[in-house]
Amino acid sequence: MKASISIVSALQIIVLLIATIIGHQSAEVVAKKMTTKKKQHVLFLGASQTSHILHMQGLAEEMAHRGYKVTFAALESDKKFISKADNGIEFLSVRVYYLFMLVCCNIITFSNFQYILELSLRPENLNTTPHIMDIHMIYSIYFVSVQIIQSIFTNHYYLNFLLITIPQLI
Amino acid sequence: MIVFDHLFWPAGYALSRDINASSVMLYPGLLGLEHLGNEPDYMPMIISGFTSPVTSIGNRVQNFIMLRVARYALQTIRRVIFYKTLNKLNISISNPYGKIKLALHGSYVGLGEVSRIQSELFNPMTKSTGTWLPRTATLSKEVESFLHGDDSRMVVFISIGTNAAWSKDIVNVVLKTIQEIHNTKEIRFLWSLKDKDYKQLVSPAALDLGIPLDEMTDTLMIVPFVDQYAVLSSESVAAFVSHCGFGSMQEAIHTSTPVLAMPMMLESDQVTNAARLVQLGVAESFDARPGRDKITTDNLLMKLRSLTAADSGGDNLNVYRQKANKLGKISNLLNGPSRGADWLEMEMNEGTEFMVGIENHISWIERNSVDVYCILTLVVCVLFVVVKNIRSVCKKTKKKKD
Repeated sequence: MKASISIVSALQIIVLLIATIIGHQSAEVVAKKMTTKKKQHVLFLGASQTSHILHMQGLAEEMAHRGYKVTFAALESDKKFISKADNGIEFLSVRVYYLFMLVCCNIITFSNFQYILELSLRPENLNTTPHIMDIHMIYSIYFVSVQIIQSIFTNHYYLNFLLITIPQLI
Repeated sequence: MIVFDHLFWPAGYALSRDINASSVMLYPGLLGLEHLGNEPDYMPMIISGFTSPVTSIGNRVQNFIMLRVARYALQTIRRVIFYKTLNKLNISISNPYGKIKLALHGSYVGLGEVSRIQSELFNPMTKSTGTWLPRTATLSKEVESFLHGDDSRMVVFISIGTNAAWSKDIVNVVLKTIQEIHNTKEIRFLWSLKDKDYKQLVSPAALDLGIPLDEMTDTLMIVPFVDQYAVLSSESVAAFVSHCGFGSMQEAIHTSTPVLAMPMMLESDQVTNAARLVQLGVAESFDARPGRDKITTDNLLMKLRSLTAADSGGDNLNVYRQKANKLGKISNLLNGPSRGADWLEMEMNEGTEFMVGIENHISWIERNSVDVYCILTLVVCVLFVVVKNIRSVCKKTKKKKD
């Protein structure tokens, strides 16, 4: 790891860590519950496009109908789709999580990807409960970043997605 | 169990690993970019709207090249950087790409053999189950009253989804068309339109054109948000004017609703989705590619009338509705939520790894029979040499005799 860190990099890291802690407390609660009743508890993670969430909801409803405890994690703005009826699905808001991902996405795509990756993958961060989402986040961010780069080579689909969708979300 | 959208597979997979739960990945819509594998360059709905058999050879050549650039160059780069970094840090993380055992795809339209789609990095067992549209759907009292009130005229539902944007020209055409139909009292319109679009586009355009929207409430209802699936499920809806996103396409098929396709994002899958619906006989479409169809009031009127003609909701169905009914019946028979839930239960209780075919565990050389081709080539070479030698020996013997 590099010995010297610029002020901008340090600020970026602070923002990342704060957002991580704030954004994933709720997810950790769910994770702890699931270790005790994992056979009856199904967590749907669908914090992306609304149309995806709508379609995943049918599957979530079916699982709830079959007697499983179902939690659906999505953006706060999509709550109306998930909690619109007494369908047995518990809603989990992940708005901060998603925005955090988008912020990271920009930072990583355009600047010090290597450094943040190394920081987030340090063993002490991986194996401690308060930071369990670090690794998840970095996977997601990395994956989305690569998709964006790929999209530049393949007709700009995700570039459009970024330009149109993200301003609406924010 | 963690069930996650494929866009969030890293988070979903890693979370499931940390709490020791089983995991399943879902493809509610399109197959993702990570499937840059063996799909043919003409396969619809992968990455680009221009990857369809209906597109030109030039587009297909371009797509062929780009797919391979993305697959071989970029994926190799990301694999090398990612795993080299992990190794350097002595972090023993197994390849997450290969750890997801089961993926479910909530569709069956136009995708052909999903099981053929493989890649070196990402290779779970993928099953198509049919769409997972929810059971619950709700409408506001106003919309409910508009759809199922005293007025027996059928309704055309207009919506272009979350991401697509209306252009001023198209808004003008739509408004003129609605006014024309308001005068003839043929059908009614329910228009799902964001407040912002109404204030900035539609309202000023109506003023400019002199169309009094307030006096057309028996023909036109504009709502900022409506449950699209619930609307399409209504028997009063005769046709759906749509941008043809993948979700909308699925909902139209599931509810047996003919579609007037107006693709808005040319770089997306909307163009090929529209082409596919036309091919299936359930849609009229405007080809939005440059130099193709021009959307005019006359064109729009003609297409709407052909979609809704002689459709009074009884036995008197037009050809689009008949084909849509057939597709809707298939979609409902598939019972996607139930089939999907069966797979989830199987993965949760017993695991599905035993169902993964042996072909997924063999090397690239074996899978493509490269070793067999080599041996056969060698045998042919040996035979050739042997035959040649025998012939030369025969010739020498003959010469000696002579």
